[in-house]
Amino acid sequence: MRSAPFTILVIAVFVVLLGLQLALAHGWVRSAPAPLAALPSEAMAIPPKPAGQKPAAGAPGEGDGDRRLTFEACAGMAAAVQDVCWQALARQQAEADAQGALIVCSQVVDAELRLECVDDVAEATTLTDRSGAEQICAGVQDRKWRGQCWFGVGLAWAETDPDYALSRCDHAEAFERFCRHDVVGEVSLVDLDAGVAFCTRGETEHADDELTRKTCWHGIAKYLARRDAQEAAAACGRATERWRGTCFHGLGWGASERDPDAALDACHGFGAYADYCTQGVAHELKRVDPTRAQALCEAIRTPAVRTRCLEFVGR
Amino acid sequence: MKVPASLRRRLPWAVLVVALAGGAAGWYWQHQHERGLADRPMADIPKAEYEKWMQDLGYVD
Repeated sequence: MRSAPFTILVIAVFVVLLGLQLALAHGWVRSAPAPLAALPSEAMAIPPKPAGQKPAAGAPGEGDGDRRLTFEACAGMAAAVQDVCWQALARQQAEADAQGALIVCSQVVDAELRLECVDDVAEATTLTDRSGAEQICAGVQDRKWRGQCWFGVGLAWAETDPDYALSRCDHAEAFERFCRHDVVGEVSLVDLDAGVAFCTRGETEHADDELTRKTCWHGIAKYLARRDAQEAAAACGRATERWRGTCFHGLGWGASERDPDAALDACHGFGAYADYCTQGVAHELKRVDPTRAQALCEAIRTPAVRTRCLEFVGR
Repeated sequence: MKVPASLRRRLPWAVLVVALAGGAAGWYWQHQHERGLADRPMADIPKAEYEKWMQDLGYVD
């Protein structure tokens, strides 16, 4: 049995690998929060909240502006809600004390939530400490959360400094185009001329990047349509003709988020672009009512738009 | 054909090393493949996959 040691080694390696695989698959391996003393001065990062998202009712520190969380209160909470409490506490103190907020974030056990917490701090800090927020975002080691961090900072500046806001999107990694869409949308809500100027400029600056040009006009219409479909339609009239259909798709999507029936009524009045608008409504409805989305796509008259619409709701 | 004894002795170790290297490479490939789009560098995301992602989230038609 000269091969016995080798056989034992093979079995041991196999068992170790199998155990490691099982542990990773079941999430048994968790990273512990970083010790307070080891927190770097510039830290990690978070993602911007979906537009219109309301604070979670009943979550610690949310929806109860009169109650102030404390470090001790969070430390004394049950493990199941402790991470949420740390996040809320970090947001609460971010503007007044960013470094303290980052220390609070370091207490979050869940790795994704911890990164989200840091992103929140950057977003909350940037309007009062631009370079501090930049340091926070640049210090995020995780690619996704670093991109989200810049995305959030860009959105925070959309109303007050559109150029700086849009330039943040250049750092947003895979979220770059998502960032441009939302920043331009936010800018349009307060200064439509500036939003249109961004998209028009993009026609030459991003001449070889169709997606960036498309998503720009889409963003303007989607954001405006959440407020007023007719206002969005007027904006789409200013879009480069090639992207006008895309613009009306954004209009349909944005208006549908508020009221699908009212959105469809509005779509019917948009003449040659009614089908693009209906497509936008159908695409938005896919998430909540796929049967109705399918029916809407089938009723579209323009063959190419109908085909694309059905492809989307069918996948 | 007679296999030299020295080679016979080393063969199991060679198989083990190759198997471990293959397993590690497979695990890495799977890990990379399962990463979300946002975890990848832009250059590593196929254009069609990226556009589908944007469509799904309502960022383009």
